Amino acid sequence: MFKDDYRKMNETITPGSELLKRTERSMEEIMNKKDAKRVSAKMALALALAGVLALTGVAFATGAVESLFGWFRDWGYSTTADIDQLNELADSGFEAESQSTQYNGNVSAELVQAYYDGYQLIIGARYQEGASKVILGLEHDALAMTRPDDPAFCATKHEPGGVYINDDGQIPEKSKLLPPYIIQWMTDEQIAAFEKMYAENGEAGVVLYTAGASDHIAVEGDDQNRLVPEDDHQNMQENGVMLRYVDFGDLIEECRDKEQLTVTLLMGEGVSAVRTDKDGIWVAGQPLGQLEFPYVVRKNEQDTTMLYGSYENDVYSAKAEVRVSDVSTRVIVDVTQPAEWLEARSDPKQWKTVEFIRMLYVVQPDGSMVSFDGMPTENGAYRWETALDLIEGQEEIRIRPYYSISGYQESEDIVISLENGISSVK
Amino acid sequence: MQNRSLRADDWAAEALRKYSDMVYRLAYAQVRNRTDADDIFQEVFIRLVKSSPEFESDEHMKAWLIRVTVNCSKTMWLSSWKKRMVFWEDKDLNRIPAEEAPAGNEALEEALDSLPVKMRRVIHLFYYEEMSVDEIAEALSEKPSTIRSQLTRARKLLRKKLIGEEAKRRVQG
Repeated sequence: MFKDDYRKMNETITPGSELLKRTERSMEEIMNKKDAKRVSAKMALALALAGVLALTGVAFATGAVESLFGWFRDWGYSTTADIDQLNELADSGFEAESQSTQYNGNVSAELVQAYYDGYQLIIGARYQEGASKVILGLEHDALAMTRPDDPAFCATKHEPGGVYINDDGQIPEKSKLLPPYIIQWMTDEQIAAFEKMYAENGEAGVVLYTAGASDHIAVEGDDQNRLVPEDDHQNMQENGVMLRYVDFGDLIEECRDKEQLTVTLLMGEGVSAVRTDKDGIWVAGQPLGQLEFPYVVRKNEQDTTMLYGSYENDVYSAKAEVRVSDVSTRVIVDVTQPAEWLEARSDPKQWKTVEFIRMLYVVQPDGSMVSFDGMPTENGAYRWETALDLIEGQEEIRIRPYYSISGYQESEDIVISLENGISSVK
Repeated sequence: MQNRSLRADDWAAEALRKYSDMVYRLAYAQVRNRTDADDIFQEVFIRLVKSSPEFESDEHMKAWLIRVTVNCSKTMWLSSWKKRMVFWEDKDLNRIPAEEAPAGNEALEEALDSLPVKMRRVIHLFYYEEMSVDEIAEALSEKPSTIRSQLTRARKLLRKKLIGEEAKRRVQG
């Protein structure tokens, strides 16, 4: 009976299609990056320009990463540029807008590295999460939230010592009178004082003001939060320290080519109230607001090479832009689309009846394909983009459309030559 | 030089196709909300392609995925402030919406919520994945006696909770 109910309940719990797509894309990117021997995009270009295409393999030293570009290298980004030099650049390319990198002494967000070349912004940050204030006692107003008979609030209730049994190796159990996610913000002395209060009164209370890293990082110019990081790698250390490396990918127009950008690290602040009595542990919380830690990131002098290509026929036109820097190669293709394409794209039922460009691929020198991400633009066109690693000996970047019915169309390839640094159209 | 991608015949694509529901359900059984389950799901499959382990068999791969899903769930539990900062008003936002859940399971949902995560994990592997105690013990690197005792305690707690709910309903009804 229980088994049947449990199984039935679980039938509806499946990963969403968006999650599956996102995961597949991430896996594909990692596999491509892992297996391809990479050379610096710029080096490939420079050597191709010089007509020297017999590149030697480049061995990457990998290992513990403590720096922005060390991390990038380990994650398979294309760079054989001087990592130390890039790190040096990232170490000095910013400054705090104010002295407020700390809040109440033990909560902080600090920019530790930043790279901005006008098109790409990558940052490394260190957050110290923790409690800015811990107030023991039963007097604080916030404890009203924990009164289950107050209709204005609901509190979550735990059985003392019954719910959180710490034999998962998760959080050392220090008190059966407090849940672990509260204990972690308290010192041993505060926990002991809480237990003493309970022993003396049969009831104990504590209110904690805590702060933690926000998912969002505010970037000047991105007023409508359109900038979604392409990579956001978070590494939780001990004692509430989080290291974070973020590549914002292709910057929106408003953030491009500025002399400097203000990047604001954010932390969310909240209050938790805990009251423990003979009936249970009552916990309630409320978000309070945001702590801001602004930094100015200066544009560096790194070169970026732009290459272009296009294709046009009676039905549509496509324009491709390739941006090659020390850090990455990025391909962006804008494709105009007739109204029926627009409609068919949003209706999978039409994918087998209406012929339209459904996907774009970059054809790698070994014949494998790297797919693009696409999204509609405001003017009704469709924009496709991808980050790419140039591969040893690569002479061109070849972009191929994939049609809904007929599949790949080689005759419509856009070919951007790396040999002479200009685009050529087949 | 061979560039691997997720083609139809690719081992990683096959793993995703075959085990995505299993990984997702196991993640959800532990963290009990979609946002965290999504994160764990993605992390597990990313780890799969990053480490590309040599699997001797399908069962080996399945055991690996179970182990990594459990480990990622533990890390998730420890990792982020926001995950532990219980804002009461947000508590139910990421649960499976009522209209998606089979009717009449609220009491079971609540009973599962009240279990420690390790018990939910064992309950899920035993009742949903239909693994034996020995198989669970092997996948989680635990002693079979530990798993057996967790299972027994979980059943007792669930029974107690579910009987309590039923009694409450009768009184209210």
